[in-house]
This record gives sequence, C-alpha cells and structure tokens, in this order.
Amino acid sequence: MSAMLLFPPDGRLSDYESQAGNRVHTQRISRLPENRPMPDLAPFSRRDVELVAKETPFHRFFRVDTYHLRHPLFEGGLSPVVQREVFERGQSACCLPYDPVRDEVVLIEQFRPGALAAGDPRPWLIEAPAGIVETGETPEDVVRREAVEEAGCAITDLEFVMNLYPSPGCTSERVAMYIGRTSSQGAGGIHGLDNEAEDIRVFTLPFDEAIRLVDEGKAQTSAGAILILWLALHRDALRAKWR
Amino acid sequence: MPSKFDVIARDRAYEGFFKMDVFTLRFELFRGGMSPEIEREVLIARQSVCCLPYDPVRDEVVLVEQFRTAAYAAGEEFPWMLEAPAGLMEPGEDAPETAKREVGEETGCTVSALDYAGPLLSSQGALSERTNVFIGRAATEGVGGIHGMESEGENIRVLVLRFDDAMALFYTGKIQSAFGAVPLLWLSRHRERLLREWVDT
Repeated sequence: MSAMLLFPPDGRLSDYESQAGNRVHTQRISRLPENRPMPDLAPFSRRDVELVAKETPFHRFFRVDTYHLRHPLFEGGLSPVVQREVFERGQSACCLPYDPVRDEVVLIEQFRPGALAAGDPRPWLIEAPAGIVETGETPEDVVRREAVEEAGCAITDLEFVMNLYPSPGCTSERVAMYIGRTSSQGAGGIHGLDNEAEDIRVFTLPFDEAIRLVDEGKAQTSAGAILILWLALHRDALRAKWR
Repeated sequence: MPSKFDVIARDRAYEGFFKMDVFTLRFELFRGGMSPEIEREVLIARQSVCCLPYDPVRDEVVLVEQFRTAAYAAGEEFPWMLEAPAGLMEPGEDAPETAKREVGEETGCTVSALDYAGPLLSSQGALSERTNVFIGRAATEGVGGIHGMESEGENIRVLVLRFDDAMALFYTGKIQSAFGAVPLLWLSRHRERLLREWVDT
C-alpha cells in the first residue's frame, strides 16, 4: 500500500465537507503525525467579505466580472476597497481513465485554443477527458459521460482526487478531479462530436510511460500532471482496491 | 498527425485589467481535412512561475495564504487559498529568475537551487496562461509572518509547514489551487531524489 496521509478533522474540515461536491476520502483514517496541531488557517469566511459592487464589463460566450470588495486582513481590520477582475467559469470535471489490470491510462489528444494563444507551434495537447458540469448534473455524471464521448471508455468506479482551482489568480473555474476505473482493451481511434467541432485522438499508454513524461516535464497541462502524479502516489493502493 | 491551423482573424474583444481575444480559426482534423471555421474566446495571460520553497534539512515547505477573489466568485466558503508563491514573468526575465524573485518578495526566502517540474498550461480551453513550476531549495528558519505589497492590495500570510503536514492539508481538501497541488505532488514524488541532491551539497 502506498502511504495515505491521515489526520483528524477540525472545524474547518467539517465545514468543507458540508459544501456541495466536496467529499473527503473516508479511507483516510485520522491520524495526527506525532500529535502536532495542524496550523490554523485564515480564520475568515466569505461572510467576512464586504462586496461593494460588481460589474460585468465583458459578456459574449465567456464573461468577465469586476468585483469591488473589502476583505479582512491577517493583521486585523478590513482592506481598502480593492478592484479585481475574474474570468467567470463554472464547475467542470476531469477524469483520467486507468485500467488497473493492464496498468494503462487512456489519454486524448486535441487542438486547444489556450495552447494556440500561448504560442505553441503545434497547439494539440495530451490530456484526460473533461467536460463542463451543467446545472442539474453531478461531476460524476459528467466524467462518466465525457469518458464515453471523448475516449470511448466505460468508467466502472471513480476515485476522487481533489477539487482544483486551475488558476485562482484570474478564473473562478474549478474542476472536480478523478481517476476512473476502466478497461483499456480496444481503446483508441478518433472520437468527438461533430456538432461541437470536437476532433479527438484516443490512445492508451502504459502507466510507466505516462509518469515518465510527467517526470521529464512534458505533462503539458496542470490537470494532467496532477492526475498522473496522484496516480503514481496511490497506484498500489488503487490496484489493490480495484483488483 | 495534424499540425496545420489557420488563424483567420484575431480580435481584441476586451481590454481591461484582463485581455480577451476572439480567434476565428480552422484546424486540421485527425480524420482528414480541416475543421469548419470556429470562434474561440481566449483570456490572454503572460507566462507565470510557481515555486515551492523546500528546506531539505528541516523537511519543511513554505506556503502562502491569501484571499482569492476568483474563489469568492466561485462561491467558496473560505476563499483564502494555500499556494506556493507564484507570479508573472517580467519582460527580460527567465523563469528561474522569476522564481527566485517571487519567492523572495512573497516569503523573504532565498532560493539556492531549483528543480523544474515543467511548463504547464492552467486551463487550456480558454486561457493562455502557462506556468513554469519549480521546487526551490531554501532555508525556512525564521521564515513567516505577513507579507505583500499594500500598494497592490496584497495581504499574504507566510506559513512554514512540515512536508507531512502540508500533504495532510492537501489530502483533506484544503489545498485546492493548482499552484499548491502541482508542486506538492511533484515534491511528494521527487522528495527522496531532492534530499539526496540537496543535502550536503
């Protein structure tokens, strides 16, 4: 078994768990390393933030909002009114399909506008399937559907990894991240929905090759790096659980 | 493998603090031929750097905690995030220089060696931000306190954490930013190598 790090919940953790979509692994039995107290995190919540004004200076397919707000300071008191733009994105979900028997991951390659704008000479990226969570859907629904639509993979079990803010300095996007149990036999080919201009190449990679790419700094995306590193750290436990 | 694409138009659709460009483009398909013309909005961001200070002698990391408006906008109950120091590359700076500068400005730590985890796109569907992720060798003794430039509205608390405690925070969902998660997971995987390389050298 790989090491599972364990420590007892405090008030903040139960608050965290009560939020929709935030679930902490029950398999991580509580243990405080050497009985040390965990550090106190910021003793503030969103109710301590004073929202003075909010505008929407850009709204086409995407939206940018400007927030004028005051927030509590670590040294006490409230900040002056600060003005911050936020690239408003909703909830999405991302799942790396993993076959614990063949020890393979399923990856997709597709053209990505962000890579184009970042100046990539060949803006096609290798990623895990992902999609946007619409109202009324759960992240689990979305990753199961996207794994089929984008990669042709049926997911039979989901292991929650984390709720990710990919870039909290500029965007409200958050991504529910998973490893999904699949059978990679026969996975491959060209997928995607014509009406979404999706054109996706699906391929399998032995886990060792996937983690080698990450170790060499070739993960390309934060989400891909997180899922493959997380899998590397928990692979033995996951293979035992999914055997 | 497809490699061709035509950018038919690139228009600046918004310019405030952020910049949003609309690309009209076609790209080569895996199944052959070119895609129809599509429009895609992309938020334009400069390259950035994220560097987690790690003291291999004390086995401690340095994280910064700050209010994040985007997390507030997302409805987060506790919109203060724990992350490694991160910031934008200035013109003429290379990524290691930015890493050392940002760590110094945000935490007061001096970085004496760097381990590179690579360039990573944050949100490749609609954001051009690419972040160079590092672990920086540092001495954590005496590090801590409240930092940040008041003129920029920064209010940053610097925390020194045992590596195990930082991972415990991650595994209980308290480290949600990519700028915290990526370097901590990288350090988890590469810590033994870094301990060999960085202790007694």
